[in-house]
Amino acid sequence: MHRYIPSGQEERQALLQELGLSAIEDLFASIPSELRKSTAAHFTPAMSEIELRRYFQHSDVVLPDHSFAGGLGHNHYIPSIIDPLISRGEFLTAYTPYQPEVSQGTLQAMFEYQSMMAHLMGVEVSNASLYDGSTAVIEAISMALRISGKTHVLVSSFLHPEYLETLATYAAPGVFSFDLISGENGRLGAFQVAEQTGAVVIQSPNYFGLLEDISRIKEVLPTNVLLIVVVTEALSLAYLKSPGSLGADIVCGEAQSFGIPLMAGGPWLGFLGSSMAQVRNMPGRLVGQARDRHGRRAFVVTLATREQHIRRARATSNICTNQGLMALRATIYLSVMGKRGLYRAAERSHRFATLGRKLIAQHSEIRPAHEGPIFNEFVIDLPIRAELVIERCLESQRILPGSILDEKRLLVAFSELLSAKVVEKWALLLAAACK
Amino acid sequence: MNKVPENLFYTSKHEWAREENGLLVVGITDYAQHSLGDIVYIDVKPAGTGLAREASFGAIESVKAAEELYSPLAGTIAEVNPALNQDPARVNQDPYGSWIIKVKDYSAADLGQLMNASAYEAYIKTLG
Repeated sequence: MHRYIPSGQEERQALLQELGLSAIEDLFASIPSELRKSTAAHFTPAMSEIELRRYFQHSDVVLPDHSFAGGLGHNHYIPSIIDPLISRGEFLTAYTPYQPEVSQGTLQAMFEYQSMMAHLMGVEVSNASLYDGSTAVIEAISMALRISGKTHVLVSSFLHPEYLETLATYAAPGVFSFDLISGENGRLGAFQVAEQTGAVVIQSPNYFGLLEDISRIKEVLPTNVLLIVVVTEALSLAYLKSPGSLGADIVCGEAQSFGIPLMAGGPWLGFLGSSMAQVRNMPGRLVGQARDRHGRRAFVVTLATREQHIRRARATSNICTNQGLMALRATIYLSVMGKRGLYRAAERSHRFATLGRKLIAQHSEIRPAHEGPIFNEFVIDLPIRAELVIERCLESQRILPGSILDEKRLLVAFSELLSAKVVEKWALLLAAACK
Repeated sequence: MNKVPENLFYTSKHEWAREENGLLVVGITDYAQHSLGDIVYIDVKPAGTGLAREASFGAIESVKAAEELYSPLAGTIAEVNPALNQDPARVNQDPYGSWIIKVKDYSAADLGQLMNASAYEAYIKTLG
């Protein structure tokens, strides 16, 4: 049996007989012979899906045009199996089906999502997902305040501005307050903690693409009452040390990079994880593994007494559901990529970003804005208006060179879809556009 | 039939209380444990927490519900029953033998504001 064709010789013969054909080649008889190769393609060693696509497109890149836009939302490869699987009637329903007696498949997929995400975050337990990164950040902060019993949080000023906006909205009624902490060269420095501070919220990689030193921050915190909330981007978890292993009490962020298309900004996927000791303070759905009355492995929604439909006004969160279909995409994505495939996608993204930064530094017109360690994004200082640079690059090469951070700075991101050649082309184009 | 022992004080939120060595011992009634069903978790604020009368001192969770626990009188939590952490189902088996917290700095004069056994028994009959 072939790895990607789940039928044996016997089954194939039976299918051909049913169709009234004698060989598989007969299926392609309608394609004119001059358009067909006479010999079958041979791939050695076996190629991955993305490599196969490149082979047939005779191209280094899978994308028709190239985007280096940074910030939220990155172009990553989406395995073709995701769409047909999530489109199956058993999964694609109008509402999240969580009755255990009818939804074992959905519940199992969510359980597997939780298991894989918890492993990546380096925490004991992940919930069954939240709507998007910004909701996840707010829910993580609310959770930290519930645990600590405090009313104030310190938040990195290098948190994504849209997350900061959401935070300001939630803080507006006055239930809790927050102050921003900052530092030199785009990374957090020392900060003071007040009596009422319950948590410190750090994004890493931060809005400028720079990694924060989470374990150092954990070390200098005055008391163990203070919680560390780490906001991150899913794919970075495959390449960097997990936030949980560095001392984060709550880990959250955006998982659009796990098999979810950009789709003009959503639906995407929020994730959140923490320790078992704090599981009752977690927001959102949780799926657990149980046994049915015949002793068979079964899956159920568990710890629902935290939730609004049971606990009413005193629920841990107003969120009583999850981002089921997007979490399913992530589950399939992670299963198809595997540990090694996921690492390779993350490593390739990092490698191209590192190459991009090195190339940019060679041009006198432009330069990287910061020096610290990065994952797959960084900021570029421009001599002229960013808007003009983008216009010129799009006009001459149909390459989006980055997203506008402010008047004279670009935020750029790199993914495994690129190649070294394309990155070199991008650097030259950017330098030329700044002249 | 719900057991309502004679020698205890009761609240309308279904807590019981009795005095012991200068402390107010607090638990939930047989009626409460029946209504909740199998109790799986009890979350209580730590010793030293100040409580107003009828303020929440924690939450009790069963397989089907979660309810707040309310302090019968104003005071300070002196002790939390450590045995319930491991085995919260004790409250189902023996609601009057399984205390949840002990309260200090309460006013014994306020005990008069609580129901006695016959008043509580009459009260739960009205709940059906």
